[in-house]
Formats: sequence, structure tokens, C-alpha cells
Amino acid sequence: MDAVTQGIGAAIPLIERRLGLPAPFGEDDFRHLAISEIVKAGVDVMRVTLEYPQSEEQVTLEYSQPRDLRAKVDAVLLDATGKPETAIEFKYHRGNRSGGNLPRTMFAGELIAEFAKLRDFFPDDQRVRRYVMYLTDGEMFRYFNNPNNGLNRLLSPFEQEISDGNLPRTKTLRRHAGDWGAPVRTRVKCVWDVGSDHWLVVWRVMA
Amino acid sequence: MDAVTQGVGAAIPLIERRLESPAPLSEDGFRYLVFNEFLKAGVDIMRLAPEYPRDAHAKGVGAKIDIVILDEKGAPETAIQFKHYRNSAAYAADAGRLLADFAKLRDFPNVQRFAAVLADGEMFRYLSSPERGLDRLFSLSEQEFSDDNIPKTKALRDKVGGALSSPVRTQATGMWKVGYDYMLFVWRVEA
Repeated sequence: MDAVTQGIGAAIPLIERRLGLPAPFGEDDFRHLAISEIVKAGVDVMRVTLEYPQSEEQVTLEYSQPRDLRAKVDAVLLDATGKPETAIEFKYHRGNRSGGNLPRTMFAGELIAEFAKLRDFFPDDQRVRRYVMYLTDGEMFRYFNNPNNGLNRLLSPFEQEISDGNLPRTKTLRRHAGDWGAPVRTRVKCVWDVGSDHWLVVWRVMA
Repeated sequence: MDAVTQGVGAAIPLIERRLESPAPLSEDGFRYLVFNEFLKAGVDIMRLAPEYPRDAHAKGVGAKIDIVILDEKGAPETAIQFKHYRNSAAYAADAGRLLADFAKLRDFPNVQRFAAVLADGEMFRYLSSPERGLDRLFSLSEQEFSDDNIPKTKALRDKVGGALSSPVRTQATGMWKVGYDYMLFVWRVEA
């Protein structure tokens, strides 16, 4: 098992404990717990970069222009030469504390947009491994599992292709999924029942 | 030395190495390196809460504190804001954001409050120039900042908004030269 999968697995008891505490738990908590465990699993902290630009060109621009507000990748692990080796996007969706309706279709679109974002990360570099790590509550997990919503194949253990032609037509989903370019191939790498009615899904994304 | 200043100081060798590597160091990356030092110093990861809500109603930009350290009962004990200035094209506005961060910390109740700032040489020279009126940030004695004594520069005032209508007091607790042309500061912030 690679250090990334090992690390995220090791973070599960911590995530479960944090979900049980009164302190708020957000996407950044999820990201920090996961990264810390990936470091404990043997990745040198010097290899961990957060909010990494999407391309070599944008890396160059980082050093020559004012703050670049374009979307960045949540975490990138570098190789020994300082080049991207692993790219990870984190997402955390949960119900409203107020008990209001969950914007499930919008959330689904946001998750799908992460796949496209990773597809476009250093697209010519076939060595880069790309992962989406998704923590969600039971309501959203059931939404994805429901065949009526047209997204249950995302949770299939077999490789899937997501393309403009096979995404649901729902307007809200399409709006939040962003502009869809070339197809993306994904495969579920692990699914865990985290406890506290939460699920953690890790996808490998192939350009 | 307090544990926060110590943790930020301990991260310096890693920050220096990262600044020398070809991969850019983001503000989140700076924050993570300090977070990592807190863990190494023995702080339970369960007590470290990044992006902690300022209150139940705050939304949007500025609604969260970068890192909050919780006490054993899960209540906020220490609040830390991080800034990483590089390639700034808007020095006055960035300086205003720093003062706004002080005010944001001041308004987070019943905790110890710190601001940790990593600034490239250009930003440091801007902030420390007496002509800009902010050089007392780097004084080793306690300072007070309010609408009455901050620079009149419009871009700076725009970022501060009305946040300094009541004063905020700061005390530098750590200053370091980092790498070739960076400075790292920690301030304690008081109401």
C-alpha cells in the first residue's frame, strides 16, 4: 500500500474522534489530519506542498507576479527533484447544522469538478498520481448510491469514465461541475465507514 | 518563550528549505509547516483546529481563524492568524489586511492571540520604512493601533474598514531573518 493510502487510512480514527468533539470540523481539518498522517507514514514534510499551481507555467508565474488567485490543487507531494509526484484534492460535504435541505446536486457537481481539476493538473505528466479524497455524511453518500441520481457508478469498484456525454443533465450539477473537457477516468481506491454517519471515499483519477 | 512563538521559530529551517526549493510556498504551506512543528512539540492533533469559525454567524472571507488550539474540553485556547507576503503589488492594501487580522484576533474572545507573518524583503522594507508610518510594528515594546494613529493611505484604510475604531495592542514576540531575503514575525495581540 502506498504512503498516501496508508496515511488516509490512518487518519480515520482521528477523523472519527474529531467528528465526535463539540469543536467544528471542516474541510481544512480533514486535510490537515490526512496530510499529517501521510507524513507519519513516511513522506518527508519537505515534499508536502499545499495550494500548488495547476501547471508548470503557473509555477513560474508564482515567482514573477502578484498573488495568483487561480484555482490551486489542495496538496501536492513532490518527488526528490521537486517535481509534482502526487496531487490530492480534498472535499468535505455535510448536512447543515440548521437542519435545512442539503444542496446535494450542487455538492455532486462540486465533487465532479474536482476530477476535472486533477485531470488538468500537469496534464502532460503521466507520472503524476491523482487522488480525490471525499469525506461526506450519510445523506450525501446515499445520494451518490441512489441509481435515480445517475451517479452511483462513481462508487463502482471498476474503472469509470466521466464525460460530457454520460453526466446527468441536471442544470445545477452541470453548473457546479464547470466546463467539461476531455473524459476523465476514475477508480475507487478505498471506501471507509468512518463512523458518526460519515463515509470516506478515495478515488484515483487517470488523465 | 510562549509555545506559539517557539513553534513558529522551530519551523524556520523547514521554511528556509522550502523557500529554496523550486516549488512555491503558499500561505497554507507556511501554516502547515508550523502546524507540523506543534505536533512535533507534543500538541495533540485533536486540539489543532484549522479554519475555526469566529462565531456561529460569520460568513465569507475573514470568517475563520487560521488555526485555533483547543483546550482539553474542546474550547478555544489560542488563536493564530498567518500571513505570507510575496510578490506584493499592493503593499498598502496588504498592510491593511495585516492590521485587519489584528482586529479580527482582538474580537475572538477569551483566548491568547498571535499573528505570524512571513514577508519577503520588499514587503518588509515597505512595512519597516518610517515614511509609511508602520515601522513601530517592529518595536520591541507594546504598541497600540487604532483609527487615530494608523496611516491615512486610502488602500490601507479600505482594508481595515472600521475594524480599528477601538484599539488593538500588539507586542512582537519573535522576529527572524529567514533565508536570503525573508523575515518572519510573531506578534501577540491583545484587546
